Amino acid sequence: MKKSLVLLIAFLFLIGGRASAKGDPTQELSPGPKKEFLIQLEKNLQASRTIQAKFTQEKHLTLFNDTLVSRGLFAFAAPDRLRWEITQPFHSLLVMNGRGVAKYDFPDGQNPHKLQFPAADALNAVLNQIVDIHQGKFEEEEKSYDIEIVKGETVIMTLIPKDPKMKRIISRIEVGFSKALDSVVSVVIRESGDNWTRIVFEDNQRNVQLPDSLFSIQ
Amino acid sequence: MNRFWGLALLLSLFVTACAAPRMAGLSARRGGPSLYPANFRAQHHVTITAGGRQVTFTGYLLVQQSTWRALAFSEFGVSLFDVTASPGKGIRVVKSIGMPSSYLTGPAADIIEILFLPPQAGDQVLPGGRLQVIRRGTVYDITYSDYAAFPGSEQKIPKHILLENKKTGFRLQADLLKFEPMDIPEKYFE
Repeated sequence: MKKSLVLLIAFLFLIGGRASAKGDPTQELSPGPKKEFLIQLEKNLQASRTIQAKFTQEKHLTLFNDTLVSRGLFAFAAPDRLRWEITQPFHSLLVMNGRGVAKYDFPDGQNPHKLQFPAADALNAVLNQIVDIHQGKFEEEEKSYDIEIVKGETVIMTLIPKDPKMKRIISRIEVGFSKALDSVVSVVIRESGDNWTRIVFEDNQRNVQLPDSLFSIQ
Repeated sequence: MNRFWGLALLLSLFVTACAAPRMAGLSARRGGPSLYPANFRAQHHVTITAGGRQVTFTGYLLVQQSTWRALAFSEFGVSLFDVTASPGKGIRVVKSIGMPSSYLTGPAADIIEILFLPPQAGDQVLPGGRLQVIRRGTVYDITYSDYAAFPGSEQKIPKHILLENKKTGFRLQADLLKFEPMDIPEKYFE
């Protein structure tokens, strides 16, 4: 009786172990391989001198069983020009050009109206972080975040804030990369509590000619 | 270093500068006619102007009779604040990124109740459908416009709201993105 019970438990462990191994073939990189991987990833990402993509942003309000969805266009030109344009469900535009940053809305539905934003430096920092991630400047990010890399079918990089105050607001940021490891395909921002935001980039076009007007600040 | 934190903090300092902090309580309501159904949830794109400068965010609002909950999110979806109020429990800050509780439970709560709950005794309807209300000595002028029908709502709902404090130059514009009349589960306010 005891022997059969032991066999049964062993059998269940084996099945469970195999099922787990088959369903979750992920591997977290240890410090050595992680460093090598980040160097290669940075090299791959920096091969993109320009990026243009559509994005969908989903804000998941788990408590309220609701999701807020916005869509837009993203453009980047190395080293430091970025355009983040929300087109639905409202129209809003952020442009970074070097150290300059501008924010616009479209009160008449067509023509941009420049907003006098009170926190330009902070906004510039947020946009620079987006640039750092798309260009693989992870050494910069390591000053503020602990970085974990998990390799499975795709690669997910998790940025965990080092500052406890920051961690109380954003518990982690998960960055997903393309299979070729040459572009960012998703960013998940997990807040403390149950709320999280997923930004998915689609129709990624790399190294296409982008007009300067996309990044002009007037 | 704390980039999202910094942005939110600056937003809060900016908004706080627009009005002196005051404590607010849930006032007894006359139950007069309201522009909105008693129970609904709504999403707005909000622009606040003060001192010639503007901040924008997405507002998310749940209303069940006199109980409400309001949340705000940045362009990148990060929560800026989360405030809830009910007659039994008062006004409570669930979450705030650096924004003083006294502002959220004071002027911010006043504005939410002025705009979305039934009017109080003394609130004046002016020509052109404008509304003028006074809360704790502050005069607000409100214009609702661009009314539209929404499924499930017997009344048309304003898609644009302008609230002004002409004395200080404070201005809030809210453009409606989504509106759903619905019973809000009690657990959403806990």
